[in-house]
Amino acid sequence: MVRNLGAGVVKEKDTPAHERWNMANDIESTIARCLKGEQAAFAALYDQFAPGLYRLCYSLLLNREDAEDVAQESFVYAFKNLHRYNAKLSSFKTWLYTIAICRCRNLYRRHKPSLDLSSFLPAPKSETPEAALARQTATEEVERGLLALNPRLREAIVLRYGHDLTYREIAEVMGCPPKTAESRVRLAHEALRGLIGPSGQGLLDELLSFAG
Amino acid sequence: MTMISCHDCRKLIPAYVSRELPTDMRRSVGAHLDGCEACYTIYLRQREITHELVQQVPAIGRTSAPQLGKIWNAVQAEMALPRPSSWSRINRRQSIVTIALVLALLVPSLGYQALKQRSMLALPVPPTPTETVSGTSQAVAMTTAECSCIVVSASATAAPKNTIAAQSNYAPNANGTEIP
Repeated sequence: MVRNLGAGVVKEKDTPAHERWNMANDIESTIARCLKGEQAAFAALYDQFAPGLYRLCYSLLLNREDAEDVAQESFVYAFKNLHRYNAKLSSFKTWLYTIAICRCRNLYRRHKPSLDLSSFLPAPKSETPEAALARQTATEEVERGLLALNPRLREAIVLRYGHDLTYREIAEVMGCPPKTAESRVRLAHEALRGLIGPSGQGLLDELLSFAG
Repeated sequence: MTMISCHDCRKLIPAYVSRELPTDMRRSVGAHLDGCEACYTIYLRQREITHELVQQVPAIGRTSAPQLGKIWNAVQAEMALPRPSSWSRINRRQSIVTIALVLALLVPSLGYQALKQRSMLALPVPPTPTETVSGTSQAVAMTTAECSCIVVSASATAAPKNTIAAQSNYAPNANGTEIP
């Protein structure tokens, strides 16, 4: 079966309302097809949500193997329990993210995440060594900052900046009131002020301008 | 426009940077930042961090198609595993229901037995039967009075009735003649 992995990820913020409505309808019809047992529909759902879900798991666990395991478990659980999903209560994305976050919490309750430096993507060939180093430094810096955060604050900041979720959606995924979600994002910002050094994006911009 | 303190301003800076504040609050924070050097420094730092988060967080964990393909294969393999048979599920459910029923029946009856034993122990010694009718009724009255002092339960209050019923053998017969 030829599939187009990762083609369907669309930024919610940039999508007009009518397109979002069409997307939601598409997802609902895909789910209906899944419930009828259509294999291609499962693959379509996976294609649309796997890249985002894996990114979420990785950002929270900061370990490739754990992220793969959680992503896999979450999809298996979601597919087996698809009949329980209620489109009136939440979007499929937040439902899926809720499943994944529960599993991530179980994992980082068992062992504290540590930075997996081997997982950085290789630099594009067009990039100079200085720019590649600066990019890696910037990413590492943010990952270290996230790692030092309390898990709840990390979840809030990842959902906000990594997945463009609204406070209401963050609240839905994290299982808390929207005001709590908002204050968690704020507290994460305050904590990150002391955790992320000025060597990240600032250094990257500086080196990129120098290399250019 | 309301004046805000440094403490309030610093709490609002992340939302100010992300342009999430309502207009009047945004103006208040802006005015405070214009006049407060310390808060302005924090604002600059916050702006830098927000920029960094917007740039970097979506890039964390960005993965490649082969890796997602690997996860998909694992998902498919697990989905293909046979589900526990409906019979075993039904049996499990039935056994849980059976245990619950047995407990529901057993526990109250055991409790009743225990209460009965306690109340039997606590019951007064039956009074010696008297020969006259008035004496008998007095004895019945005494027993009831004594039993009412024992605060046990319904079973305990049922016990005196038994006692009374037992005493009824000594009660006068229908003709009003004395029992020898």
